[in-house]
Amino acid sequence: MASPPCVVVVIPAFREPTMVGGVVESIRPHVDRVVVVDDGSGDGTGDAARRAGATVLTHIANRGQGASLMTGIRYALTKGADIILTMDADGQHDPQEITAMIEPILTGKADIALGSRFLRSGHLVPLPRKALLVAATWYTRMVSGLDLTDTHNGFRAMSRHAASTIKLTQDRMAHASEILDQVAELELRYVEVPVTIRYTDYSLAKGQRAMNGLRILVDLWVGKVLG
Amino acid sequence: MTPIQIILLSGLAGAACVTGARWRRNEIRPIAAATWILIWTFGAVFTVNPSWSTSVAHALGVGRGADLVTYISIVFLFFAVFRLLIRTERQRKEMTELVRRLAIDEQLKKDAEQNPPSANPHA
Repeated sequence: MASPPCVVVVIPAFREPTMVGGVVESIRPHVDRVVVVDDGSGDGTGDAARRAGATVLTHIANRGQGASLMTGIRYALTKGADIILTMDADGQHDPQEITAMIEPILTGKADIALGSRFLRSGHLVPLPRKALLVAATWYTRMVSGLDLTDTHNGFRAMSRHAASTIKLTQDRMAHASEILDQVAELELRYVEVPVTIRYTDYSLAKGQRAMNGLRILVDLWVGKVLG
Repeated sequence: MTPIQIILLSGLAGAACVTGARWRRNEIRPIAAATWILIWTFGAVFTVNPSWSTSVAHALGVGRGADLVTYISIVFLFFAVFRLLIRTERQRKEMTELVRRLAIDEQLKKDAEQNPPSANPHA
């Protein structure tokens, strides 16, 4: 009988000492391993994640969310992961939805499953955040040609094949667009899965702002021009 | 000699000295050092004889020598910024890769300590 697939969650974390422990504890029952990449926090984030049962990789200097994801993904592949999920460290994502996220990968329907907050009816997204996300979605559709409803959602699941093919070079937030560009370029099969995003004052304070959107565009442009 | 000529010549002489010192310390290649010394020398020649730059400008279809110097400087600065951007981008990628390898290697070492491979797998 074939052994069950090894499912690993990768969580990039930067200065989340109060949240990351609870997030790790809530995810652990649903997967084989939780890998937290402490992105040079220097404030006990890594210790909190370790106490909660995560494997903690420590960046000695802050390199950004994209760089942390790539570190975690590469480590997960080294440890034999069959399915790799990415989730945020601020508790925005619901671990109960992990099963739905990995289902398209398990059944071979897709190489990568992308969470979408806009596919769940009645989902209230704060207006400034919604405007930013709509602009990002429009841009991504134009550049990559992917028919998506939510392009900057950190909740993803990917097969081992997809994880080992995608090579992130964008260290910071532009990685979210870069992943989609590569999904299109590599012709990976994708599917969107409805997910819930829990907005709290804490998560909104740590989230994206309009100026960050501009910075993402600049990073993407520089990355494309300079290779 | 006017005060601005003295200021410019002092700056150019300082730049030439720094270039020479870096070349002697093997911090830049001989071809790069020669190129920079040539640029500073041209600057010094045109500073001492401003009318020469006007002659060159006229030959190239530019009205004034000062305009020609400005155009050349802008092109040169754009090129320098472009090169710096490429170098910075390369260093960013190298830095990230270094930080990543350290993080992964450290954890793999811990993993190996926690689960040491058996000396005799059949034991």
